[in-house]
Amino acid sequence: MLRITIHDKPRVTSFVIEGKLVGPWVEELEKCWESVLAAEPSSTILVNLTAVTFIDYEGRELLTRMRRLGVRLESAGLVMDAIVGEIEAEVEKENNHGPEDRRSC
Amino acid sequence: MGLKTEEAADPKPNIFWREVVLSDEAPAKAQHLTPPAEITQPLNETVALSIASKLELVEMVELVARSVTAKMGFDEDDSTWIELAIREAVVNGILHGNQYSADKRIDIQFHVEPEAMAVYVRDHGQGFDPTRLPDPLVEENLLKPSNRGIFLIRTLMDEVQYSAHPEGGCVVRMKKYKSPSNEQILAS
Repeated sequence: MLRITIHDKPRVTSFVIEGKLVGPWVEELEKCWESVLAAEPSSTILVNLTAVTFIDYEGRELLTRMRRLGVRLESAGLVMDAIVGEIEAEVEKENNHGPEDRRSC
Repeated sequence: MGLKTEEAADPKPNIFWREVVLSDEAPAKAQHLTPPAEITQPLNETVALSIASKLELVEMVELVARSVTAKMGFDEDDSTWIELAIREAVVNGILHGNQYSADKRIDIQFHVEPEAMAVYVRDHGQGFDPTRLPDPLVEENLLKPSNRGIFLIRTLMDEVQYSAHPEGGCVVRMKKYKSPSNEQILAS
């Protein structure tokens, strides 16, 4: 079960994610995100992950892409805090040094 | 004989051999590396969306619906009909159910089944009696642009049910079965 609740306020859109962010259903969150980006490019976007029970590789990759484009991630719990911490560190490292694939070009 | 003695004296080959055999003989230990069936087989899953009563968010629901139907293998026509039916149900919920109320939400659930997709759309309004709606096919209603949403949903989907939610609001349950492929038709 993946549940996405969209709270649409002026200048801030938040996605509350519940359940498992896994496999092909990761794309559903991506569609929602793209839709908000297209409608309100300047809107601040928050993703609340406190009720997420499981994230797979695709889910983590999407969250990393979202974070790179300025989406704020909110988490709670050891596992989700650790995953979000890793994503934050990865994006911060890229911002400071550039991603590895860029360096290799 | 000398070779055997050397093997016995040298523990390395035996340790290596034991490690290999252990990994072959202990499938239970390796099972944790296999993703659960729910991840490798995403069918029978549910994706739920909850949106505010804003028409500009309907497109988001359509995008998600199209994405789900594509993954399920619905053909282009069926995907379009499903998307249109969901759009009508969500718009009805926003306009007639929630009446644009900012504090009322529309909840949409996509239930993915092996042979069909069931979609639930719930509003938080006062509810209505679908049997009391005017028939858009009656001559005096043919040119009226309204009251076609439910007719469209019933036409486009295989099963449609309306019910009152116990906590308030109306629930539309729609179901669309996958069309049999050419191979299935030939096989039958």
